[in-house]
This record gives sequence, C-alpha cells and structure tokens, in this order.
Amino acid sequence: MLKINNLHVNVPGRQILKGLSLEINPGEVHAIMGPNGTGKSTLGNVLAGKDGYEITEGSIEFEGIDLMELEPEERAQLGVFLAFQYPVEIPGVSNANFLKASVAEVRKARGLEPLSAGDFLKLMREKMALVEMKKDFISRAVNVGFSGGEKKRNEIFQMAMLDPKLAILDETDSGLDIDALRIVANGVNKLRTKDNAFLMITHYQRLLDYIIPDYVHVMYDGRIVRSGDKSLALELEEKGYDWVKDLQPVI
Amino acid sequence: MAIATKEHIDFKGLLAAHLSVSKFPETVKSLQQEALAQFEEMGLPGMKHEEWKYTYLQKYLKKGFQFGRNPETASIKSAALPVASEDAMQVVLLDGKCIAIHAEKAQEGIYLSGLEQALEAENVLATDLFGALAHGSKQALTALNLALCEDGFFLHAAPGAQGNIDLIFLHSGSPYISQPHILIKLEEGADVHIQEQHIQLGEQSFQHLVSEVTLEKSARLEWVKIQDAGAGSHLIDTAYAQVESEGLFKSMFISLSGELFRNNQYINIHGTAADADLNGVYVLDGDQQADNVIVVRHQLPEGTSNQLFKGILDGKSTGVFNGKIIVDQDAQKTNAFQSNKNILVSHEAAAYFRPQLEIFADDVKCSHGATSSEIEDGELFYLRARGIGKEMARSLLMLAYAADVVESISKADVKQQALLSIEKKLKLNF
Repeated sequence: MLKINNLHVNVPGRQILKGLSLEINPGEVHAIMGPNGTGKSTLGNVLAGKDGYEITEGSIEFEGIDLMELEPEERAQLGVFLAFQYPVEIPGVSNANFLKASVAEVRKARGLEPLSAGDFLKLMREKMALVEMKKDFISRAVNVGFSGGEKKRNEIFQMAMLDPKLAILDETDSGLDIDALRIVANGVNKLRTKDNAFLMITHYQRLLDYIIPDYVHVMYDGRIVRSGDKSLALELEEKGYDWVKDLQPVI
Repeated sequence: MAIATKEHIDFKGLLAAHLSVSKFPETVKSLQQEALAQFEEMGLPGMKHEEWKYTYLQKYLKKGFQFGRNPETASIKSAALPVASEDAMQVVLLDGKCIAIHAEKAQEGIYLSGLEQALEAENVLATDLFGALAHGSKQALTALNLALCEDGFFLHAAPGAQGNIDLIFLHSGSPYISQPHILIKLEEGADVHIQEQHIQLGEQSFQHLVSEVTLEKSARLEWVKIQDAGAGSHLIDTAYAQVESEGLFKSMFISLSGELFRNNQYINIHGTAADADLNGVYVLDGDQQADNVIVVRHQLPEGTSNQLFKGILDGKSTGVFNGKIIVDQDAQKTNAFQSNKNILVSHEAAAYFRPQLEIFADDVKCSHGATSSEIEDGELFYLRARGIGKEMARSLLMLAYAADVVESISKADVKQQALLSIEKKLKLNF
C-alpha cells in the first residue's frame, strides 16, 4: 500500500529525514517511536502533503501512485488520512458543515454519489458513538473550546467519517488522560480491517498497550534505526531513548 | 437635472420644495432650515476632510445620483417582502418612505410609526427627539439629512418593554438619494432587537440614513444590519446614540454586496456603567469599499466600549476602520477597546486602520490593535488534508474569520441569517 524509499527531506536550512524507508501493507498497524526532534511528525506531514518541506531524494508511493505529485486534498481523496498532533480550531464552521464538505469532496473524488442529508446524519451519529461524542458536538465549531482529549477524539471521528485506507496518527496519545486514551484506542481498534492500515507516530509506549501494533520502528536522527514487533516498544520503554542513539541505521 | 456637486445643486430650492408640501411642526421645519444653513457652510465632504480621506464621495455621487424629492412613488408587491422573523414586528421603508408597519405580532409597550406620520401628528416625543442628538454635529451629511429628510420611522419603547423588529429597506432603483431618518427612544429597562435588511429592486440605489437613539437607564438595543442589497447599491449609515446608566447599545454591521458602505457611529456614554458594543464585518471584492467611522465618547465612569471590526478583502476592494475613543476626565474606570483585523485575500486590496485615543482620565483601561494577515497556511492545510479543495477551504476559513464577529449576535435566528448571507457571499453552499 505505502512504499517509502530512501526519503530525504529538508526544511530551510536543515535536513530532517535522512534516508527513511518503510513499507506498509493492507491490514497492518505500524508504530514509529523515537525521541523528540527526530523527524517523526515531519514524516506524517510529508505524507499528507504539507507545504514547507523539500524532498531532495527518495520516493513515496501509495498504491502505485507517486504521492509527492499530489495536492493534500488529492491524497485525502485517495485515502490517506493524517490525524493531527495539534488539530486546528475553526470558529464559525460547525463540525457538521465541515464534514459535509469533506465527505462530499472525498465521495465525489471516489466516484460515489453524494450522501442524502438523512444518510449523512445517520453516518455522523453512528461514528460519533464510536468515539463517545456528545450530541451537541454536531453543531459546535470545529475544535473550538474542545479539551485536548476532545480534539483528539474529533480526529478519530473524522477518520471514521472519511474511511481512509491509510491513517497516520501523529502523537494522537499526547495530552490524553487515561479515559480519553481508551476511547481513542477503542475507536481505532473498531476501525481496523484487513484492507486498511495504520501508522502511529508516538513518543510513548502507552498507546501501544491499547492499540497493538504489528511492527514497531525506532526512529532517530531522520532514519529508522531499528524495526521489530511490539516487544521492541517494551524494550524502548525499559532502556529509554538514550539507547537508540548508539544504534546504526537500518539500511 | 441637478448635478451632484457642491457648486451646482440648489439645496435651498430643494428644501423650499420640501417645506412647501411638508406638514411637519414648525419647530421641525425651522430646525431643517438651520440644518441646511449649517450644511451649506460645511459643503459636501471632500477628500480633505479627515474622516473622508479614504472615501471619495463625489466618485459615487457622479454615477448619476441626485438629491431632492423623488417625484415618483414606487409601489411594491408584498410578495417581494421577506417573511418576518419569529415574533417580530416589521417596518418597511421604500426609498426612505415608510410604506408599511406590520404589527400583527404587536408587542406590549412598543410603539412604532412612520416618521412623517409621527411628525405630522405633532407627536411631542418625536418632535423633541428630531435633531436632539444629530443637530449641530460637525457632519455635513447629517445636516443635509436633517434638512431634507421626509420620512423614516419612530420607535418608542415603554419602560421594561421588549421588542423585536424586522426593519426592511427596499430600494426601487431610483436615481434619487433617499435620506430616511430614524428616531428611537427606549425607556428604562426596555430591551429591543432590530434586524435590518436591504433589498434592491432595481439596478442601483443610494441611501443615507441618519438615526438618533436614546437609551434610558438599563435600556438595551441590539441592532444588526445586514448590508446585502446587491451590486449598484450605496449605503451611508450614520447613527448617534446616547446611552444612560447601565444601558447597552450594541450594533453589528455585516457589509456584503454593494459598491459603498459608509458606516458612521457616534456613541455617547452618558451614564455610569453604560456600555457600547460595536461590531462589523465586511466581506468585499471587486471595487467595493467599506469605510467605518466610530467615535465613542465616555463621559461618565465605569463604562465599557468594545469595537471589533473584521474585513475580508479580495479584488481591489478597500476596507477602512477609523476608530476614536474619547475618555473624559470624569469617566474613571472606563474600559475601552478597539480591534480591527483584516485578511487581504488579494494583493491589490487595501486595509486602512486609524486608531485614535483621547484619554483625559487616569484610571482607565484602553487598548487598540490591528492586524492584516493572509489566510493561515496551517488552517488551510488542515482542511485540505480532509479532502477539501483549496478554493473551498479558503472560503471556509474566511467564513470562520467572519463568523467570529457574528457569533455575538444574541438571537439565534438572526445569527443564522447573518451566517447564511456571508456563506452566500463566499459562494459556500452547505
């Protein structure tokens, strides 16, 4: 599904990703862990198509399509979803209107008929239940006045509405209390199928107690330095991130 | 035909024509004559006038508009009228003339009348209020309105009365400049909401409205003005308000379609702990011009005034915010704030901000701030990452920017209508 090969990415004046390779297949859950400032969020942003990053080398293919050539909205329409580390507040735009626009655009791009108002509302209610959103959520402005936990739940809710093939969760666990973490993790687990895939970017092992990954990758200084199964996360938890500094990149 | 320049228009003749048919009380007629004399002394404002620096009035007048009595009385089918909002009385003015007052949903203690009717009937209060705040101002156009106005409406709310009024301005497309005049007096504790809409039936219109608003102790007025008459419309709106103790004057200008929006508000905080909440949002493109002039004077202590004006400027449009706060020596513990924020969508659009603070008291909190920005990339990316194309994402963010102001409208149905109008302007359709 996703093939990243030898990816090098710069921001002005600095190289962030220094030859990152990663392959994700349908049905898989991958976790990328690593200390702050190693380029984890950059990877998420580059996959989703955020401006301000220069790809100097390497390739990103999504279902055989060169992702780097596409606009952010085209990537989303293809089925790439980024759950933001810091979801943006949009006063004046209700969650309902935001998602109506979003779902309509994505469906249009996928050649699907627009949803009727009734079907849309039904879908929304169903997905809201998934992340235990209160009813008034529909009419509230996107992320405005939301607690940290509500914002992250909203990301998962949006993901559920858009039904992506590949979901990238960027530090979705940060700032969550244990209840919110459980709700978010339950939401993700219920959305897992054999056809979709998840890439979880996280600093802590905690989230991986709730969403069990198939693969864990350790990132340091712009590269993946170690890959393994979920036991790698436990090893990291035990040894701390200082340990990874001595690891050599996986070529 | 009179050409609308200072040199050529026979304003005296226009006033004489008006007075010859007018049945206004003599005191009103003599005030109109005085007002004309004051106007003639000042002349139509030109670019040398500080407050008219960014709006060249002649440019708009030269499009073929003229002063004077409109010889034709346009008629209108009631089908063209919007449905009154829930529980609202409706006042309809056509080219400045009050043509209908729908008071089927009469509200206790709320008295509404056409201004001409009230003055002709020698209504004592209306006669007293006419010019009480506006006469003798330094504004030439105000003097001209006082001199030449023929009609408008009069609202009197009894103590504690609650009112909800739809105010509809219809513009027939006549080349005559309509100059309605509104008198409002809310007695102690009265609470009135006015939602104003404009409908242009022809291709063009030009209206200069002057309002005089007196709010007695604890009276509250909220006036939402949706300026969305369509291309070719020109609106100049001047309000004088005097707010007594614990009263609140709240206004909201939503400037959307039309060539010119010139909104002047002169607010006098005349009692202790009285408040003014003055808001505006303008969403402009093409050659549109919105020019907001706000002067708030705090005469007595513990008052609060807030000015929040936001603009979204595309094309070659211009947004001006000219805000002045005067805090008199006696007005201790005043809080006065003003903020003007603009998004420049196009590089050819322009935003001007002129804050002026004149503070003579020492224990006050006053601030002003202005920003001009572009659409934030992070926000744009968030929407695009959800599959929303760039153009639509920009429109959604502009809506969000504008909605921040509209949010403070207290009546849900009015807020909804305001948002819908802005959505329409931004070509958003949910």
